[in-house]
Amino acid sequence: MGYLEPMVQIPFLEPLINFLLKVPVIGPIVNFLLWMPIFAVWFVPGLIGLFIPLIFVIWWERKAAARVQWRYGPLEISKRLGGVIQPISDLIRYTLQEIIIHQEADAAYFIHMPVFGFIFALLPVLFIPAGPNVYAINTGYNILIAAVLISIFNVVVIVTGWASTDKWAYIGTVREAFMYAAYEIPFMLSVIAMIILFGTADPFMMVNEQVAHYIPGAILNPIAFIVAVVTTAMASSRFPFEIVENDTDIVVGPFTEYGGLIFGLTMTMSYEKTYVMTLLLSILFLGGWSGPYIAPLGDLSAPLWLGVRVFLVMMFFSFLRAVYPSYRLDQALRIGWRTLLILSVVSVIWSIVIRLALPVV
Amino acid sequence: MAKKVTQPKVNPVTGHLSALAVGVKEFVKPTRFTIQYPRERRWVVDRFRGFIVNDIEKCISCFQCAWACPVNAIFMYRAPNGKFYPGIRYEQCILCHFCVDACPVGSLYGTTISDGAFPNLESTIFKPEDMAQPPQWDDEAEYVVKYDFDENGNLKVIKMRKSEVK
Repeated sequence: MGYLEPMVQIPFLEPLINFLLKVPVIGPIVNFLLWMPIFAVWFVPGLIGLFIPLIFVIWWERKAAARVQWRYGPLEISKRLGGVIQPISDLIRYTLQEIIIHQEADAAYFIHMPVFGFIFALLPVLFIPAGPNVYAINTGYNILIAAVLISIFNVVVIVTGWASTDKWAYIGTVREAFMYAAYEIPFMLSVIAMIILFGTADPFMMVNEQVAHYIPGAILNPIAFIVAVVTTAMASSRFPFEIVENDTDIVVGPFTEYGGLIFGLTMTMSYEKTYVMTLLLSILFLGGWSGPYIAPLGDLSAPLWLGVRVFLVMMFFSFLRAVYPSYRLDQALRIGWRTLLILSVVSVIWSIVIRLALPVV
Repeated sequence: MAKKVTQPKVNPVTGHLSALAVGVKEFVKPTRFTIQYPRERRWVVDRFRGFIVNDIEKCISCFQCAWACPVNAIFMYRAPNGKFYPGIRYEQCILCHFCVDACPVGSLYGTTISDGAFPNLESTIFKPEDMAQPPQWDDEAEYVVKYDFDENGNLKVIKMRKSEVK
């Protein structure tokens, strides 16, 4: 019986893995989980890679905002650790709550859409590698495919709000549609600017270019970086663009009618989107997984360095909650259609100029 | 004359940077002074107007406290010895301590105890025998927090153990 190849090499776990591979039933399972595409989907940058930052970032967001705003934030659960397991206890609470489907709701869409949303929001992870040896699918056009898959998610949110048959959900849905149109074009243009700049849509080659010249993409094309950061904040409804799910205007926007575990899913959706877009940002602008090689971690060394970047950028986006109030819809649309659109077109021109002036890069 | 108020002009780049700088400054060294109430308690001065206690030995049953009360919270209850002693209904009492000022013999005196939970409406009505000693409530507080100002006029939060205060 042969093994599924290639497997992810983790030297410091090598003795344990070699032992487990010889155990009759567990061996094939361990082999399957360590098979590179499955490892990428399940561990990094997939599901586990999502949940670790998710739990930490939700806690960090509440805690940092509280600290700046002269409060304490979550504290009572695990008091010595500063309430770090609060998201887990919230998850348990959501799990135990009843899921209510009200009479006017379109039940099939109402129930299914959050699940689809959860899947669609995480779908780009299939095409975003976490390291030179940790990726699910490699087509050579991965960045383009991931950027397009990110935009599918919004359809789900709109259907969710429509199926809810609720006043706040309807307002939130319309806001989502407006915001989507406002940020999508600048975001795509900033990604296209980076693709023009590197002359490839392959994430491996992009990172190699950045490593080879010791210059991250954010310095090569700062305008595209600014546009990408602002559009990421808009897309994942982080402050100051928390317009779709603004608690103070419209309860939670499209997800107002949800309860229980399904509300938990809808709540994680915006964090998932932040995670995926942050992965893309790190690869395009911040040098991806470049960093000193750590021998005991083997293939996990690169995901570690990418994870550090993702953590820092997600912490930055969460920290914005502490600083900003949120914009009105018309202000956000003006920023999207005027400032960001012009900046993104300028960033594309900048890329073309750099490409013509410095053909080496 | 109506004056049109316009939005102040702020440079967007410096505006965002200064907002972020304030956020980072508050995060590194927060100026918060929240008291975590059941575990911490605010330090109060000795003259703080809290619950009122009556020393029945001194009371001469003169009704001055009931007359002085601006919200008619004080009832006089007849005791077996024929005298009348005050009892306060704390649902009405505004803790103004006018009754303490009005007392000619100093039999009524105030305490600094101001927080306590009443399980029901009847328990807010204090009879003369309830007024004889300060109300007893479980105190979970370990620390007492005192606010002060340093020489530059900045707020200074002093946290003391409860045993150090009194």
